Amino acid sequence: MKRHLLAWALALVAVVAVATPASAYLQLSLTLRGQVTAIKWNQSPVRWFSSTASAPGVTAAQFQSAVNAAFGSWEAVPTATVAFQYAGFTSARPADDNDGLSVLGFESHPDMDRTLAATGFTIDVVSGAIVESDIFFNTTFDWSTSGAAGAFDLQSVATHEIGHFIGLGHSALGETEMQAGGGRRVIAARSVMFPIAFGRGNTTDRTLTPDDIAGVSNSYPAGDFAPDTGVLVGRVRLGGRGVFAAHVAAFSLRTGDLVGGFSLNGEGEFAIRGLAPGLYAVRVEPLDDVDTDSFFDDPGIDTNFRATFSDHLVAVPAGGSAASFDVTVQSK
Amino acid sequence: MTRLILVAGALLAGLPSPAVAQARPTPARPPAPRRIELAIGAGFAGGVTLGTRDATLQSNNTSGSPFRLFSSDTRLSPAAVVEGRLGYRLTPRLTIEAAMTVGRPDLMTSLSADAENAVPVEARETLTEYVVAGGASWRLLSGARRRWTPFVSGGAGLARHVHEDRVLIESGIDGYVGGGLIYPLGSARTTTPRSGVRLDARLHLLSGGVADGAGVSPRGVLTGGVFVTF
Repeated sequence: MKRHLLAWALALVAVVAVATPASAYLQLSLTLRGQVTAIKWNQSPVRWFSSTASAPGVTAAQFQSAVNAAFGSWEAVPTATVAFQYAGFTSARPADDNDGLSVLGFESHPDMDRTLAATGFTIDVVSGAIVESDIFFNTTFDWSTSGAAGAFDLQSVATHEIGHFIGLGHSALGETEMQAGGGRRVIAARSVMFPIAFGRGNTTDRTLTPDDIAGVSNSYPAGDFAPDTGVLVGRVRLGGRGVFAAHVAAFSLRTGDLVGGFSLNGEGEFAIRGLAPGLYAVRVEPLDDVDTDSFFDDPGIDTNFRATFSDHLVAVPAGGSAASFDVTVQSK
Repeated sequence: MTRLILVAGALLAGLPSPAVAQARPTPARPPAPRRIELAIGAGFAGGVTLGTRDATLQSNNTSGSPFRLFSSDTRLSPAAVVEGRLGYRLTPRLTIEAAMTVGRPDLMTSLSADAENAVPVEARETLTEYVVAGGASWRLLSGARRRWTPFVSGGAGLARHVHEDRVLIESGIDGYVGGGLIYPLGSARTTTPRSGVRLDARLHLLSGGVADGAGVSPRGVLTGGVFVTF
């Protein structure tokens, strides 16, 4: 049984209210027969097609080359097993849902004037397996494959969308500010999967960060990933109750790596997986730098608390879990 | 002829008579040196600065320059230590030694300068530190008279850092140089005292373990204790 899930506007499938702590970062999940199920590809390699459509300044061949490089970034993660295969050019469009082809290409969506690109899925609702995924890149915007100053970098945006393509949700490792004309502007970010793109000419998101690597490795773990990495678990509490959807960042005191996660139930429980063994500091903040509906399909998100450091240093072991601890936050 | 007889007489007179030698008491032989030294002590290990590190994001500009989310400053607190030592005296001056030192310092990280004004905190955990080292000490004065005898020492070994709940154990290399004073107790006639007091001052250089990523971290250690010899 297959059901199409449209997830335009940056994979709004996202996570529904879950009963148990899920992983770090967000894995796109569905509730199937009462169970929260992370969606992922069961086949490997994942075949993808490149659209023959072009855009001003980017030929179809240039598009294919840039997207292929973006797939390569995810495929090169040594602790993950996800693999891709370029299947050729196609005249099929990304908007052609449920055609059995995973197509990436340019499309014009002038009505979506804040959406650079988006990913859609066809999911097997019995197993949660992704059976088709398409990505469009909106020609309402200017694109470049060279990092040209006046255009958005195609490879950077493709790297983000391919994160969705393999089942990853958004990361909140970033800071934004409101713009006078509406919307938000990124001040800084530390994850390709942050939902708001860097500006024109910026190629930063061509390179995966520790947060992205932990995410893909957790979804598609290589054999030594689980025994070589550990889990940080705890709860976010406010006035004696749990906080749902608080953003939790684990900071490695040894490497400086940041990996984010969320408290994912009413008890405020979180679990950040895929951490290199070592000592971590923990910081909790409300999910107030982005639109929360690009993370959670749940109205009960609590953002009325102040950013808080845990007063507990956490030792994360290899192949296991650190002892659980509470981070108590205060209302704003 | 007369001269030869006198010389012979003198030579004979100079030789001890076997009968006479057997009648005299055997001179006391010096006692065998005590070579094994066992010591126990306690003291104080200074703090270790493990460095500062910023948690950074990448700024939204073409250079991707760092944006500081917050700052961290990590250190190992000063702590009391206990120490056991086993030595083997190769010569009156040179002793090879193996020692184990145990302490429970706090590992502390100051988290501050938050981009969203989180209240600065001092995050911490308690660590159990074991250092097992081998080395040598050289006494600058020989003999075992009742006096303070200075020595120098040096060595290296393994540091094991056991984090709270024993979920994580990190290992590093610990080298040291130092010196101190030994004061013998008991008989002053033996070449090695039966017991004594030993004071150590050492500079330790820690690499790895909780200092992984912080380079080589120095700290001072002062200990005092007693020893016995066998």
